[in-house]
Amino acid sequence: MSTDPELLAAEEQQPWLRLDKRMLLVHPVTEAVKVLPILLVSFVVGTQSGNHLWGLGVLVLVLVFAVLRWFTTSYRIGPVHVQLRSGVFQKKLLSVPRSRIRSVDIEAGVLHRILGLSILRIGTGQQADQGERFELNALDATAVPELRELLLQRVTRAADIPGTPPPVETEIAHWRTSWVRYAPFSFTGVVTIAAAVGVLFQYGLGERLADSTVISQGIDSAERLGIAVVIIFGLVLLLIVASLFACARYLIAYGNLTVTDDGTRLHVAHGLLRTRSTTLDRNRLRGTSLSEPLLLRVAKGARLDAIMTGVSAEKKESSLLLPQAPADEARRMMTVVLGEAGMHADARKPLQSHGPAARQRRYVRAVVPVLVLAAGLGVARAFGAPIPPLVWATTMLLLIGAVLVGWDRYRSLGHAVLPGWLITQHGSLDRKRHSVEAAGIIGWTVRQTFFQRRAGVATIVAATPAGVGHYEILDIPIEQAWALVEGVTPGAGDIWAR
Amino acid sequence: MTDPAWRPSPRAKQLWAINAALMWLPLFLAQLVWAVIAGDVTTWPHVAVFAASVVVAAAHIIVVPVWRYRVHRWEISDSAVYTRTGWFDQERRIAPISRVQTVDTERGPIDRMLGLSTVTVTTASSAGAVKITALDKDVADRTVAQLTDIAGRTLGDAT
Repeated sequence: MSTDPELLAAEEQQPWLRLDKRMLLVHPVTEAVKVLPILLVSFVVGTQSGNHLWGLGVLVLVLVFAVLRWFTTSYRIGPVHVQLRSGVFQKKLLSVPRSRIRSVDIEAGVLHRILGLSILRIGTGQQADQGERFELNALDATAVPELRELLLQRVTRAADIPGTPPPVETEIAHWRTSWVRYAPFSFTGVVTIAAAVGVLFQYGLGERLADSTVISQGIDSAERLGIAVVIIFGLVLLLIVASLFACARYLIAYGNLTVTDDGTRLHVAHGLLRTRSTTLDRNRLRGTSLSEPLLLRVAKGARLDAIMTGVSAEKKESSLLLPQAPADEARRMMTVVLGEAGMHADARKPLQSHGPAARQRRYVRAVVPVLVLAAGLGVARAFGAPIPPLVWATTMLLLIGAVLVGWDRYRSLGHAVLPGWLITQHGSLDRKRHSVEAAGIIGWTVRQTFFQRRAGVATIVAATPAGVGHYEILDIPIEQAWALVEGVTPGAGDIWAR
Repeated sequence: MTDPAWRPSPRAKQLWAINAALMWLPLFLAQLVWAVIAGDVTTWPHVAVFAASVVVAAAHIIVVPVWRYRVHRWEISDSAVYTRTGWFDQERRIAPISRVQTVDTERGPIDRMLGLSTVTVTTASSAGAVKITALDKDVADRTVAQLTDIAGRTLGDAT
């Protein structure tokens, strides 16, 4: 990369800018929230010792620190680099070459929105920790879209030719409130509740609950009713609460989602309270991932993500196109996005299945762990350990479930080769259909475990810098493996292809 | 698809055997300590664990290196790197040199002792890195020179 010394000199002349003055109101609140436990402790200590100066002193310290943060943070956007100076005690200078900017995200929390502010975050596609992120927190909300356009200009558009019409934004997806019905069909709600309960028990809530009269009376009546009824009641209650949690989370995170397309970029904006707006550059789009976990599939829903270079799904960076939504809508969106990315065939094409060996392996892999468990129980019984009938019944249920999962996994397994594209689908509980552009694939692995060699099948791994970095085709017959590689990326076999 | 043509250095078998032996050494030491602390070496838990670990270690140190040497192959053409690796689980990996980002050599103490070198070719994807293990040092150096030469001639940012 050549850097013009004149431009660099001009950059040095540019003034450093401060963040928006309104942050003087936001910083104290966020800093106070961060040190809330310390504040509470100092107030308690203050009231107990009768000296309120304790709490006040800490509060003043926090406020001073917050104000200093505003005074010590400055940024400048030069012709070659964008730079951010920060740090109250430890000074830090973060400098990002503008040619390395891959994405610019806009985010605004509730407080920011009330004050008319927006956070601007610059992504370079490199691994970045919390402290090393280029984040302008925050700027005037009305100026931010313009700044984003300026920062992204070099990335996605060739130099503006005077006279070209401004890009026309078309909306390709719009959120509907009724989509919230798909929210409960994920495990996030259950996980949230489990985490909350875990935390509460950590603080000794469990003991206090067990001691309280209401609960002990409840336990007495439960013993009369029978434990099974209580368990079922508890599960139903958990499901209802988890569903409500999931719905609330979904509404807050994805409410008002819109996806627009201006010809070179996709803009995804969402959030009811905290708004987020991400830009996905079409030049870096390498495909899509359609997720249909079992529960969501039963409810006829699906979720769609983009596969982007420079946006690593491994590092949990967002490449969301559509959250849980009707499957038809997600598939329509997939076709639109892939079609515009250059797929000139039907993205919804039925997939080619992988044959009897693959089917047998799906069943074996699902059933064998349960059989091992059952055998272990049998051995334990033979050695005289008492195994209650409930355990045997559960094992039977698990076995039936395993057979069904094996069946569904084979039904879901498949691949398709379209001109310039690879489509692969696998999984049951977490079924995913990846459509990857051949131009984004930079290497191939054909892997065979000992058992795969005996069954005459192989797993193909397509390596790519985009998305999760590797996309697998499971248990394809070995004689088709290299033909598929050649079909997707002609010439990949080089001199060894015969 | 034919297999890559070239084998690693014949001393690769020794390298893998020594590495395996070094891995087993602490385990046997731990057993020795256990036996000394417990006092009675001839009781069945000691004998059973010792016998089992001797069998597994022997397989790991004697059989696996031979098996691995029969599988391992590599070859470089003017435009691609191709390897076959593994023993129980095997994989073939191919990467076009136009997508290569870095070429490194790696030499551990045992490698140096045997005059061996490992060449790692990385691409922009973590799943696409190609490792050519246990080459003679001069072969490895020539390979690196050849790879960097070809990679330097191709343009693009390798993503």
